[in-house]
Amino acid sequence: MGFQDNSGDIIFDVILTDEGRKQLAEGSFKVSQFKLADDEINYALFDNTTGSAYQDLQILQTPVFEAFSNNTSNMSSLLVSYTSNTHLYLPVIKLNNISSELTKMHALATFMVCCTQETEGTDNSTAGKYLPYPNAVRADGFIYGVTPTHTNSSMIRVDSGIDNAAEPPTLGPPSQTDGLFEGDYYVEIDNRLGTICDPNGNDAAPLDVDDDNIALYLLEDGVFGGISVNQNTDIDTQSEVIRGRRATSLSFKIRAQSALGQSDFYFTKFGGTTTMTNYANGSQNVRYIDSLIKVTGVTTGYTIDIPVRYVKVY
Amino acid sequence: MTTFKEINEGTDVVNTKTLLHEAIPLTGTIVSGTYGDNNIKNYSHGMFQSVFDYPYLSSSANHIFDITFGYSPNSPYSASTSVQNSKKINVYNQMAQVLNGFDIGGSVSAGQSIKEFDADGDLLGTTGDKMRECYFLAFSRLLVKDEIKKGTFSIEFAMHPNVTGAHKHGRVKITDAGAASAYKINSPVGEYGILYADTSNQYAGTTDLLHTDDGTQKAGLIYYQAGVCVLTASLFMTASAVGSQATGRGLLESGSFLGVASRRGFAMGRQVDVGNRYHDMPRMMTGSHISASANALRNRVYNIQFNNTVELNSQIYFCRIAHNEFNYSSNPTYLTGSKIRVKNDSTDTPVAYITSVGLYDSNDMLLAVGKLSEPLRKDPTIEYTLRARLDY
Repeated sequence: MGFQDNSGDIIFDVILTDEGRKQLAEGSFKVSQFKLADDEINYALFDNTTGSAYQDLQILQTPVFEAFSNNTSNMSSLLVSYTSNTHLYLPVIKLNNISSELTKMHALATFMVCCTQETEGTDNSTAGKYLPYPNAVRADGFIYGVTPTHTNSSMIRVDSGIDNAAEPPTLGPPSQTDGLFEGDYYVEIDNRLGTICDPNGNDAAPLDVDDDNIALYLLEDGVFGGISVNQNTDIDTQSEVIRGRRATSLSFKIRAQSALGQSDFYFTKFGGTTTMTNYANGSQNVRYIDSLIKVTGVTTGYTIDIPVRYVKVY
Repeated sequence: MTTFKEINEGTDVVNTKTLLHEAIPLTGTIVSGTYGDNNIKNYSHGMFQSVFDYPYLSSSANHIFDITFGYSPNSPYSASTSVQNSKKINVYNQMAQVLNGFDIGGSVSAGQSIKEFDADGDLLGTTGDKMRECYFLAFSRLLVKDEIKKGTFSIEFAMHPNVTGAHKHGRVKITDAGAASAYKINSPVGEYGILYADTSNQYAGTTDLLHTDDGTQKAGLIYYQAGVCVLTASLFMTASAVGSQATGRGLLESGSFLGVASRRGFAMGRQVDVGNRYHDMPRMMTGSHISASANALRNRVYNIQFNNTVELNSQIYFCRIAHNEFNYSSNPTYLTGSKIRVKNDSTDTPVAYITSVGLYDSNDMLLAVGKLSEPLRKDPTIEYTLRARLDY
């Protein structure tokens, strides 16, 4: 008579994150849900060509990091529950920087957010210094952070869907009942630097701003103006990045915090200086801060990080 | 479809309390010897002496305990001619008022209303067993944590007149024997136990070290939550000591090697206080500074041992993972061109590997995170209950 398998009951210690400690101090600490993550796992190590016992040998030997106390540094890639076990393809979120001139990235592979009208060229007083038109030719990837309603302002667009031609877009959007349709998005942005608005410049309200000044936005289909179902069923690689069944597109702009325009404090603290070509084809001194914006699918948990550079001429 | 599962406060959360104990051994060589006196800090105010576990000028040093000495204003040793007389009284009164409290209706101003330390803890009854001259060892919170575990405290002193080098023999051990089941609760700072003295190491050719050498001699008090050990100075005096100041008050056997019958105590201060001269306990109380008295005691410490206690309040969150949950991943490497890497065919079983568990609030803010020691395979044939423990 052998012992019963007791491997299904595992106990381990958890540590409070900085946000957890903050809420504990405020008296609002209340756990209401849990999530699972596999940040350290590289599934490319899964060997489908070998016997079952050896397929995940390398994965199971993966060392696991200790927990970080920074709430934004943990739980990057989440485990997901789907009702069906027969899915072979899952939706992804991809940056669409080819759909139009306004969604293209800058040549430096980032989005530039102008922090002053002088940088945007919307103040009409310092013509020649502004950056979106170097040498009088429009450049891609400049978001007008002071006047995001400007028609020349770029925007960030991400598309969701199944990125595989085995399930072509002609089959229609991924199944909502199977949970493969991504309609809502979380966006995380450093609240000291910028806020989120839709392509028409309507500001979104953050769900929460944590102790590290990371603002969490929940952008919902039907509420946020920048989400639309992608109706394009063409296998058109010129303007689409999702090769298979397409769900929604999320487009948004960034409104630079006014403090960035009024003060060099954060530029000195987090950023640096460089030169860029200005409208007059001169070498323009520029202050900049490099940051990331994280977009996560609410349904699928899929996450991408989008590089953003906040710039200000001086 | 979803990346989270709700935690039901009624069925998935449980609170527990656990008492953790650590053994704290303090060898005599740490207290005197290993670092010379570089780990001993004296202050200009002269009220107490601090002992560190490393030379105290180093940032690696930890404060482990303080030693001080004091006597009651009612002590026969209290006199204006005594060295640091007022400071010794102040030390005693401070300790007594905090650890013992005050007589009901008494006045603090005269100092007479502060309850004196009582050898058997009976503060209202017997008056003949007051401890009016005491050493105080106040242990650091770093060692004591929440409290000293009852019945584990012991401190061993070398009684041979010559305490240098290998001469720490003829030892008396002070313990709170029996305190695990019998202790006092009439102190304003919590529970305390009675300390008893017993011989732990006979010196060759000598008789018993203690006048009553059966482990029943009361030698002091140990305050468990406060982490303070109160030792009577009688521990270092002979029972038949002569002289008006110490008659009949000592615990030591006068016929032992500790000293001849004509002495009031033994060479308490020899070599550690006043050079190579004999300086017995009564003389030291009146003629030495508090720091010198602390030196004398510290150099006789052979060993200190106790277990501390940490009261650990835990909240356990039961993360119940059903067979049909969390079998897929959003890890970027999980897909290649949207195809799941771990499957060749749609009928293959999906597999994911758990390395982290996050506890979130209703606004999706990560409040606590736990990591598993190794990746945990999850597929539709497996169910888990992960117990995430959060300690306070």
